[in-house]
Amino acid sequence: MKTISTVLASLLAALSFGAFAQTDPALAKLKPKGFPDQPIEYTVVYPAGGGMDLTARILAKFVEKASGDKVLVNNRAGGAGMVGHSYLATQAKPDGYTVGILASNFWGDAILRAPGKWSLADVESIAYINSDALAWVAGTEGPFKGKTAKEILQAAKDKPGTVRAAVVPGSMWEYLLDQLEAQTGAKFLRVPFQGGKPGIVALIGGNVDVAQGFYGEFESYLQAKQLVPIAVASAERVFNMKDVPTFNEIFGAKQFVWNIMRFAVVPKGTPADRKAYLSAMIQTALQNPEMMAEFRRLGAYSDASFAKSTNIAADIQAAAMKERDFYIQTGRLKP
Amino acid sequence: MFERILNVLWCLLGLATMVNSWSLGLTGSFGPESGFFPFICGALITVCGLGLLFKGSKEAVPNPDWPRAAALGRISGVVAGLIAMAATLPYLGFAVASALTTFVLLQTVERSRLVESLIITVVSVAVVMLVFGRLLGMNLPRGPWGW
Amino acid sequence: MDAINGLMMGFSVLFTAENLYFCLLGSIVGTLVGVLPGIGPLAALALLLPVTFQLSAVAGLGMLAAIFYGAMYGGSTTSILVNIPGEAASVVTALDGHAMAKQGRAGAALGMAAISSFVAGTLSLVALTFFSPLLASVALKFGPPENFALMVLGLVCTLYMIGGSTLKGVLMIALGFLGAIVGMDIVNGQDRFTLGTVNLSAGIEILSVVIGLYGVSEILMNCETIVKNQMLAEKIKGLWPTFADWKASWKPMMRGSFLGFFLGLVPGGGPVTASFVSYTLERRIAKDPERFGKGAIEGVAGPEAANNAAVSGGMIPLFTLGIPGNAVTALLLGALVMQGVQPGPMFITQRPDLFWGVVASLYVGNVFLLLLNLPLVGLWVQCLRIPYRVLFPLILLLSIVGTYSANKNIFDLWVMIGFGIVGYVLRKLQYEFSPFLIAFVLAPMLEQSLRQSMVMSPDGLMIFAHRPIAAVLIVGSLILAALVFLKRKSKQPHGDL
Repeated sequence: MKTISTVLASLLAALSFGAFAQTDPALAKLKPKGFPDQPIEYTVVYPAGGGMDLTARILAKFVEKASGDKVLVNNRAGGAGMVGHSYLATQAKPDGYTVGILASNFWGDAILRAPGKWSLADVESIAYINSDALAWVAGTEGPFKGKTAKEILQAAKDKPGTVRAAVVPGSMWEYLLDQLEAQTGAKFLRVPFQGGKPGIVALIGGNVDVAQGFYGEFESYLQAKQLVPIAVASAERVFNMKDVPTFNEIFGAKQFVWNIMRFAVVPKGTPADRKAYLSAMIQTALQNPEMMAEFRRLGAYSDASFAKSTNIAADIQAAAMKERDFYIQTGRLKP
Repeated sequence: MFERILNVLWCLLGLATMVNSWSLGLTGSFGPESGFFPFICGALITVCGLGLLFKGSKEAVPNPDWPRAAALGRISGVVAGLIAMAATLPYLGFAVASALTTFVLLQTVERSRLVESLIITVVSVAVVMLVFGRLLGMNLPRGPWGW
Repeated sequence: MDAINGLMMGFSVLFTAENLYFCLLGSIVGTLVGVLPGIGPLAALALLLPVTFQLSAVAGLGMLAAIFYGAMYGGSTTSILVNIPGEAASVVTALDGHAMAKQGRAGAALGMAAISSFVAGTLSLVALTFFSPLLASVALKFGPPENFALMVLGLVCTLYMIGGSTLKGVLMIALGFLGAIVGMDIVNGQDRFTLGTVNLSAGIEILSVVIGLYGVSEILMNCETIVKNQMLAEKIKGLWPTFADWKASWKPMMRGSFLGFFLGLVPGGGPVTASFVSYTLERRIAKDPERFGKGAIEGVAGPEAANNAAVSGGMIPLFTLGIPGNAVTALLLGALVMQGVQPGPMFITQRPDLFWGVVASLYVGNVFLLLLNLPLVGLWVQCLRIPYRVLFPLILLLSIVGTYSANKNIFDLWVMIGFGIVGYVLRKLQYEFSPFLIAFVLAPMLEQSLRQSMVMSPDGLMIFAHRPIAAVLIVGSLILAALVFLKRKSKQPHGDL
């Protein structure tokens, strides 16, 4: 029945597109002989329906269109990504049929929690996908309505431990707050949540004073005027929040850059020709303006420094090392 | 007798939990820490285990209906079958592992006729693979032979 | 746009071949998924999510929602027939449903389950139609302190589920709580009781527990004796509920619908919790509670109504606030996002065609499900005639695949087997599993909410006094708990607790 419904759905789609999709000829040239003879698995380490999962599914759809090969998205969720990360690093077969779709918080697991079991070197990056910047949002009701980021930080400094901020423990939510507190002497009351969205919901319900999240997570509330982004932790202003200042602007600094960077990896030891083909599949899909439009609709943007990179594996490794330095600097990791 | 062993096991489990929770930290600056709830659980388990041990006669099942020889054999067979299936699944792939297990179970545990067992095995495995593999689109484990 | 106009628009949007076809398809798949042990609506939705991307929004959402409802309809089938729950939300139905089947009344049980599901589904949809915006604000009022209070109330209900030995019951509750704690602590990322393995870092998969504890142990129990022929030697006494059944069931159905709807609406609730609380309620207010567990049809009608109503309840925060209450609604949210829709406060006003189209699809889906499930009752009852020696390997096979489908992790199968063996032993020693299961379900939210509340609170535990909803729920729980202990003490005058 899935086959029936897929056929029916594809017919409908084809009719609406007007023509059957052509596979990309340049891509076809790179295809190794006899590969793939079964569906390729895109492993997503978060639950189905979330931002990471949707990105992977959009990617899979366009990769299928460009290459003509079948791609199945599989969720291996648990332990805030740890289960999936371990699977990719230790159990997944390096035969070219498994591609991991990861976010940059993979580095946190690899550097802080995995030593002794596996490491960054157990996977190889093959492509950059997109990024999502972490933004501060405040409510439009309550004592902090209408305040700027600087004012909230001031309040947190004047009355330490009273301004409630939503955080996801052990991730960039905390790192950003650490940096801000170090910079301004403020002290927040950190209320733990399992993700950005629950924190945002708590903000609207008046249970926290400031929340952090990605644009896609709070867009609907922004439209309903229930909250407003007041600062973004990115290097430059983000396209969908053009009039929201970056933290770097506010402080004239460079270190307040925290975003989710999504990229694809394969287990170490995947044959070079298959790895090259898998990488090319994604690169070709990224050229498709329709896919970029869908990413933008989700709130994600394309970071030029990665998108135009000539050696993506090296650049991603460099970014991972920068995060490692941050951990050493803040005492989370012993050098 | 079994029940008494079980009750002792509960006490041990409870104590081990309490010890482990203690090392996780019971209370922190904001109230309960990681170890708080497990500690309470461990304490409850230990207390209940002790209670069951001492009120033995009142709480215990007087004559638990433990399986005798033939029944024990059948149950062991089913358990062994399940273990074999789980163990061989990653290596033989779903189709072969389940076919073997189903066939063996039908033959030994329930003593069906040979031909009947074969037919039921083939049909069952085929139907399951159709429903889950095709209909629902799940990627079932494959063996070294690709399916 | 007021509700009636909206609904009319919704039906006009719905009545296209594509939309209706996928609504029907979802109903069929949902029923199938509910009947199959192990595989639940979450796995089915995750597998079929990509199909919806190429469909219209109403067709795609309609299909997914129909699967969710369908699973609640179908889950009771195996619970009643073979005492193996198809879903965690159908565990409770097995208690009285299977007892009824053993008395030859499987048809009545199955029929009443389907009817309760339909009544609850439709009634809760009516509430959704007219009261969504109002109820949305209720969902928003539930912050960490309120969630904690609700979980405490749920936990007190588990005390009511203890039928036999109190010590063994409390032990099971503590074990269930502990079982849920195994895994990574979300508040500080620390691993708890994971014995160093990554697999346990994610926690113990609830499907493995349900299938192992209830399903595998049931098969082991049955395999002790060579059940020569069919499962049920008794004559099947008629296929339909009798007038007496109707008379006994209609109030539990109403109560279950009401209860389930609210438990689906608030965060931390859901169909599983709703089914347990409904069972507890029915047992508590029945004039002769000893009938429960032995074939009381109220124990089927109430929970089956509750779990279906909870599905509708869960749709409200999803559509009006963009807040998913559980993993399944999170998936529905994802499906909506992929359709270019951002469910949230503006959703109903911005896309009334989509919202009302989906609501219309839910009504029609419930009708499809009733029409699908009632005739199937006859078919299922016939299945009971299949010799058990043929049936059980198939059930085992389905259980294995179903459990595997949750995380595609072989480790879950080992957990299932482990719980199966332990379950078998514990059943011989007359331990009950329901307290274990509900503690397992409630514990994570209970712990998380308490710790969040403590962090948020400027004055420690007093935060619960400052927040009216939380205070009321906690006081209610304390009263109920006191009543339970008083009752038990009076039932056992030789002071044996």
